[in-house]
Amino acid sequence: MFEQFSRQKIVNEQDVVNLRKKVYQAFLICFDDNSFSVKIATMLSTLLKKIMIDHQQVYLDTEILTMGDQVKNITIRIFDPFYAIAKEIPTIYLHHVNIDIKDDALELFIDKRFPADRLEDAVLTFNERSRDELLKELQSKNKDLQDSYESLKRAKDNSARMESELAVGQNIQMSMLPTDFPSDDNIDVHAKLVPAREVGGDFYDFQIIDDNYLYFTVGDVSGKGVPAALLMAMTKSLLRSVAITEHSTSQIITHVNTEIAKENKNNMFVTIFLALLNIKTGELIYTNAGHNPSYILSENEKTLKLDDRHGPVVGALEGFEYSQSTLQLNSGQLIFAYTDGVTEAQNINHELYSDQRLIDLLEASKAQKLKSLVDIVIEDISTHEKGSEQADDITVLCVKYAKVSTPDFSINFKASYDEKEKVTPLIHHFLEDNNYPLAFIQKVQIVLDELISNTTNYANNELKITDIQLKVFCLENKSGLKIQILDNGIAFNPLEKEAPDTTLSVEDRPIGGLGIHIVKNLASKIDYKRIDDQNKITLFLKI
Amino acid sequence: MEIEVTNIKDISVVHVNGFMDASTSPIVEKEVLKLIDEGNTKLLLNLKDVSYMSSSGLRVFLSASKSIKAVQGKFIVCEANDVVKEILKISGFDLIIEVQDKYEEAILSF
Repeated sequence: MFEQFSRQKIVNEQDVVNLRKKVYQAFLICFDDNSFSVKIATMLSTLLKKIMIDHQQVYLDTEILTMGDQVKNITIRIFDPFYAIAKEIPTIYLHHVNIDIKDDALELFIDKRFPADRLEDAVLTFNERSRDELLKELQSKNKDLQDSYESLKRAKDNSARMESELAVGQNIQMSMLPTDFPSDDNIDVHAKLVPAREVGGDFYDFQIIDDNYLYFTVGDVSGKGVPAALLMAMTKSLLRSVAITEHSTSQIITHVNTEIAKENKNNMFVTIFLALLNIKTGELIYTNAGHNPSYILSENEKTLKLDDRHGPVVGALEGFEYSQSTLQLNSGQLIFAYTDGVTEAQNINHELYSDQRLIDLLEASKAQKLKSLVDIVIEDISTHEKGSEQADDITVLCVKYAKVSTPDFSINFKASYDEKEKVTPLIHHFLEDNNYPLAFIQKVQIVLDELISNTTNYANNELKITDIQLKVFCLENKSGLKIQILDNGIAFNPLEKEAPDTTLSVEDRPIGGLGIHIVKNLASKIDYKRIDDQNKITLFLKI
Repeated sequence: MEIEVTNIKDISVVHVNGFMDASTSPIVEKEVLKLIDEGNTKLLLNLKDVSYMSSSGLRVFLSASKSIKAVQGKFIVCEANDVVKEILKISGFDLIIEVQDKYEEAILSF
């Protein structure tokens, strides 16, 4: 069995030229007749050129009829798979060759014998792709490669643009968040926002207004990317600017909603929890506009869910009048606000973090310091999400309120024994007037003597005069006292003094350290802080 | 604060009236050390009228005990009220100095 002449596809003039060469070479081998081969090749190319005027593409098949060791004839069939070839056949006469239209194809019948053993070389020559063809194929492959490279590059540029857009959005978002958390005896604030890779529109904000109110809010803008970040920035700024003059959360939200709804062409919206805490009285006013309910955590009571709703999401309904709720906070209570990124965080099995899990964690961790509480929550969510990508921003904001009362007894004096001598009877009379039992008064005097003489001893080593501030607060039902001693001397924490060895004999007993040991034994709770260049000792004495 | 010194036989009894704090304790200390210096070896500190005492009072007890030991004498405190007793207990001083409840018992202990 020998190879067949392969089918040839002709789409342009170059293909015709190539084919002409191949036909010539193959037929030269077959017929060993240069003149005849040139004539057939030329005739074929002339026909093809004419056909190509009307056809996009034609194919060329070659059939061979053999008889014994002789090839009897060759039929070359030119056809278009879609259209009939109906060209008027030019009158070309060549001996041994007949041209005809048959079955919508043009047939070239070559009735000239040649030995079959020449066929193998002829087929090989005919089927071998020419240098030009190879070059063309290579160029075409190169072009494909170039095209895919271009499209890859375009895709990469697009994705880079996306990435940079995300980065811009995240920058807008994070730069808008305050981190100068207020923390004193009265209010303690802490918050954290963990942005998702694809920017969401979470935000939080807080500000102390007129020394009287703590304004704080947590919100979530629908949508992602730069548009969400811009709406978030706009909402946050609007809220704050209205909050400075307006002391009603319903009015703040109503104003801001109207502004945003007016301009809202993209149908985006914001869920907001907004509150104003009167830091003197503990009165909390809040408005929830389509946001997750916040929680009130108390030391000894069950967690309270603030599930009242005061209106729809902000930006949806122009002119809507939002309402508000009022709540009296007790000293020590804590407000926990968050966004749905917390409760809707998913694990690898697509299980939500859930409200219940959050409440349980808060109940278990509420005694922690505020910053730790925030960290614990964020940490727990991240553990839950392990293995799956964070889908949404996660925001947590905590506010702790403590009532700050004015001291019942307060006196400022210089750190010296003379001054202290004058203070001692004043304290005595104050406590006596408040019906504290004598033994208790005496213990108070011992504690004050230890602490104040300690400060005075240190003050004597300094050049400048140390001022001492003494504040005494009566505890509820005269069950005891809270005492604060502040001094502006050098930083010194007396509580760090090592406890003396109270079992040593008279000879071995060192003087010093005993005073603080006594204080620690008499006080139920004692704490030292260095605040604003002052030593501050706070202690509780119970009857 | 008032300090009164009386003698029962060869025992010097120091009676303090008031409170012993950082300001007043040094006065008691001065008085006690003066008595030891003068050759008295039996010293009783009667705390019957001491309302309260801080660690500054313990300092007095400690220096009195040390000084009297040096002259083979004896130092006793008595009649401490509950608050002073608590301070003595917290500091462990009830174990290192002789404390008697009653004045009479203290006199008999010398």
